[in-house]
Amino acid sequence: MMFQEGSIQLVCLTASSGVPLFTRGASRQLPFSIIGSLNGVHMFGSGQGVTLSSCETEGGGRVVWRVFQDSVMLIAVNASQQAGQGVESSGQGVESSKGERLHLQRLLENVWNCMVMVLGQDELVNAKNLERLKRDLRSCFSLVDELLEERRPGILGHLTHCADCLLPPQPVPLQEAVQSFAKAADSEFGCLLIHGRVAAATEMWWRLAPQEIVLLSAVMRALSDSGAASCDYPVFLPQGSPTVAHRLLRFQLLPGADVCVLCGPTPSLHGAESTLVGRFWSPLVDNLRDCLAIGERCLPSSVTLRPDVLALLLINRENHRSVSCMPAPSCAYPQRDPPSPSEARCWELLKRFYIFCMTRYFKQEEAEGTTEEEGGTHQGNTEDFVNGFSHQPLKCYVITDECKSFALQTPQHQLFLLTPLTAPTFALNTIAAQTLSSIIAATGF
Amino acid sequence: AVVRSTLARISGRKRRESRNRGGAREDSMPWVSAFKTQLKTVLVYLNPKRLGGSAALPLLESLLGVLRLPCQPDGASVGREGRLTVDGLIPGSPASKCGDVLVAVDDVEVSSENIEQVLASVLGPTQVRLTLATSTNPGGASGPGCPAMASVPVVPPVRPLPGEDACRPRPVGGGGVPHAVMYLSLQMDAKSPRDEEEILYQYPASEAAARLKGARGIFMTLCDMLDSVTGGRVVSTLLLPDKHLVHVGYWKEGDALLVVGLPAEVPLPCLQTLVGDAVRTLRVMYGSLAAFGRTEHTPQLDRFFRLFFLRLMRPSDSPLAPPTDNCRSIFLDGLPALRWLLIANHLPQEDLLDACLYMRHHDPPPPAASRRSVGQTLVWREVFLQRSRPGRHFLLIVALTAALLRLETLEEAVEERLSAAAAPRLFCADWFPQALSAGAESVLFHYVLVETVRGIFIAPTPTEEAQLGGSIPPSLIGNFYRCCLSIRALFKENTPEQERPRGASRVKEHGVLFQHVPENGTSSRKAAPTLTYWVIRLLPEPVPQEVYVCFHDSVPPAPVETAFRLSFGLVT
Repeated sequence: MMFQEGSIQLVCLTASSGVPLFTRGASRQLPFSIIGSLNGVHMFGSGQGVTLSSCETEGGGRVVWRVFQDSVMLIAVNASQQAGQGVESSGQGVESSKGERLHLQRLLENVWNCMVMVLGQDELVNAKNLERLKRDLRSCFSLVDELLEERRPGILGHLTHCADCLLPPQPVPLQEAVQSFAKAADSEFGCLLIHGRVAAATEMWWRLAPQEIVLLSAVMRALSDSGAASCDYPVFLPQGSPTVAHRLLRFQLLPGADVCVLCGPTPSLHGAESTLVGRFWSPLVDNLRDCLAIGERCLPSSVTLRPDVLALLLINRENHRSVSCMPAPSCAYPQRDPPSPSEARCWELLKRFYIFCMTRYFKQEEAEGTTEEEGGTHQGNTEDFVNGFSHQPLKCYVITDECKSFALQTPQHQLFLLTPLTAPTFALNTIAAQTLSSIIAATGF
Repeated sequence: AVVRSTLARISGRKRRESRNRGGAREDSMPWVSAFKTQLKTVLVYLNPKRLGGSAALPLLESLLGVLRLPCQPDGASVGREGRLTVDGLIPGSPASKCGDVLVAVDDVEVSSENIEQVLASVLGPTQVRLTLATSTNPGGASGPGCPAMASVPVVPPVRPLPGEDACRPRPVGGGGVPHAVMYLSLQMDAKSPRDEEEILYQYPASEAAARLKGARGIFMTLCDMLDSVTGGRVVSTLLLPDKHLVHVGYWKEGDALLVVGLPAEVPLPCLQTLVGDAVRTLRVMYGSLAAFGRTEHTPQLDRFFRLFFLRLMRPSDSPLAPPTDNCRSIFLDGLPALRWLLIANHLPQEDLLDACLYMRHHDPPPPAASRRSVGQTLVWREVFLQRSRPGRHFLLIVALTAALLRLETLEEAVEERLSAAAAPRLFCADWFPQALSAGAESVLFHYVLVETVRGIFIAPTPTEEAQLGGSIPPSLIGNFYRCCLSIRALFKENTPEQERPRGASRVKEHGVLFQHVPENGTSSRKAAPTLTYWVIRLLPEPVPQEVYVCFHDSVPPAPVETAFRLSFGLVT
């Protein structure tokens, strides 16, 4: 075993020559010879007309390969979990959802998009000076590390490829403010983030590819964590504008509340900050505070959830937005028997259940504008069960010794929710239907 | 039951004679000397008067217990016309194995033309001397009649597989669907740079398989290195040769590696089970996978894997079959007693599994297919049981009425049980649905109860499926089995016996709701109603059993479970 079990290592090489560009992830790196073999075996296959896609080993270990634009090879390695080892040391359950194939495949896509977003496609595809490229790639590391580590358990966009949203109590004034703020900054693309989730955005922002919105949100969170009150950050859009950079102007309105616009050469960061931010946003401070008060619940108080909902993920299939929510922290029910899983464990269970449903029963429509990269054409086919059903799966449930999980799918929505074991199985369907209808009725999501 | 006891009784000890001292006129039978042959003489006691009502049968079969396959008009039978090759045996008959040639009766040379006449001339109860030519080629062909089945002591009558003919077998599933099996040596000998010497065995020889063969370096490298990368042995790989998606399963044994590639229609969790089962069967047959390296086993292995792929892939002549069609067979593949209803068993569980795996991978012809084959030996060969014990073991599979084992009483008992109205835990498909289908329209569409250990499998009979045919779409059954596969895979990952991966929790119940929207006919104004139904695996307690049900959305699951418990005697 080369590195800590249960951790993911990411390797990036040039596709043609196999020169390593960077590795991220696990604390102990794979030796160069192993990296060379992993790359070599894929190259050998290509020479034989066989594309190597993924490999599974005992104990849930996995290796996933993918070549982007014939130029960059990304390899993700997830170490096997040796049964009976390390359970005590880690204390709580290992986040094994990270090692799922769907997760690793989306990770590679996200990492590539992230590289394009920071450096632009030209520099990656037509790199003349590899040493310089290696140096430049360092600027992606903080974003790549965030994708690998998933520091915010309630943010699921990198997995769902749907924008994580927060539904504000009074959306209309915020929506209007974002529109007019963006317009004043000579931009059609503006977005308000509360707790790292999209609370309001201009119409054109929603027309960006879902993966771009997810990554831009990640960039915003990274910039916000840096503590700066405002930033001017150049970004390429992996699908919309992979070769021409835009400026991402970000301003902190309140701690946890950020607004951004994508714009051209004007206005200057200082000009926008001094003239526009105060004008459009100071009247809405109370509204913003209300949003911040929602916290991880992400839903306004007008939505009443049944007490037996531990966690939920609601996806709007048409516009690729999602709301994830942990309404009642489990500490509110300490006397439950058996005890409900911890908050972190709930997020993990929710992710696993999402992956389970998406790989077996529910299909995900690819968003418009998704480019057909090499290997991209088969991405939808790689799941084991999902494509073989002659009838349409609508709902499914799984009962484990930790909780009960229920998912349902309508033409417009997908809902995944967890309930404690105390919820009767026959009521799951009703709980899910009521949850869906009450959220839609109150927010129009 | 008509017991056609072979009237031949071996009355004397077999006397083996070398061909130099042979009593029969060897010079007049030139083909005899063409093979390394031994002649032997057997004294049998025949009593034609006890033949009774089976006069319609050839005397060769009724008197001597020797079966012959109908002569094929094609080139396969060239050179064997007239010769009385033993193609099949009724147990207890004097010929010791298939491929023996009956040369003479009481020193009268016989052929297929005169044998009935010669035997008809045996009038009274008398002792007759049979001369048989038997091959001594060790492990080689036992006669030109059965070249493919070399080393087995008794060759069952082999049912031709679909698409198989003597000259050129058609590829399974069309030539384009990639599937292959390879047995690769991981011991690279640098001294002999001969091409492809590491391939100890491969099948089939199709173009798509050649593509996988060309990529064998991938499998060998991954097998060699992944252990040190992820900390676990490689289990499976996902590949894309020519835009087809292929799952590859691995089995490493010693310095060699078995690789099985199947189209991705066969879900990955199933692939691993399939490979494991195939390996176990091969071990039962040969003791170890080393058999791959020996050319004399190649024809048998080819047939083995042809059947293996046939079971899992759509036949090439039905391209329109929906992809779920193979799910039923894959799902039921894990069961010992599907085609072969297990009535009684005294074998330990592991031995039973060995025998059942053998049956599944060989698919001998059903004995009921023709009355004439009743009482026939289907399989008789040495096997290597996986539960190691001293001594050698042989597997003998005979049709029910075989006189050799005096199974008539058992057969009667079987008949009795099968015709009984309700026998819990055996076959109560007739009355179970009635417990739920109160109204005119049945709400329970399908169900399966599986118990691998005891070989119990309960499902609606084809008759019942036909009865339901009006109310459920035909695609439902296939969809149901595909879902069962998915559910079983989930449970398998979570069995309590196995060490679960950390972070995984134990699954207790899982269900999926499907919707079927019938396609509108071109003109029909009122469309058929949309059908929604659940497929659920129940885990009844306290006896955990594998039960899958498929029922209409309008039924709450609780009554279904209750009905199941009552029906199968789970309520005490």
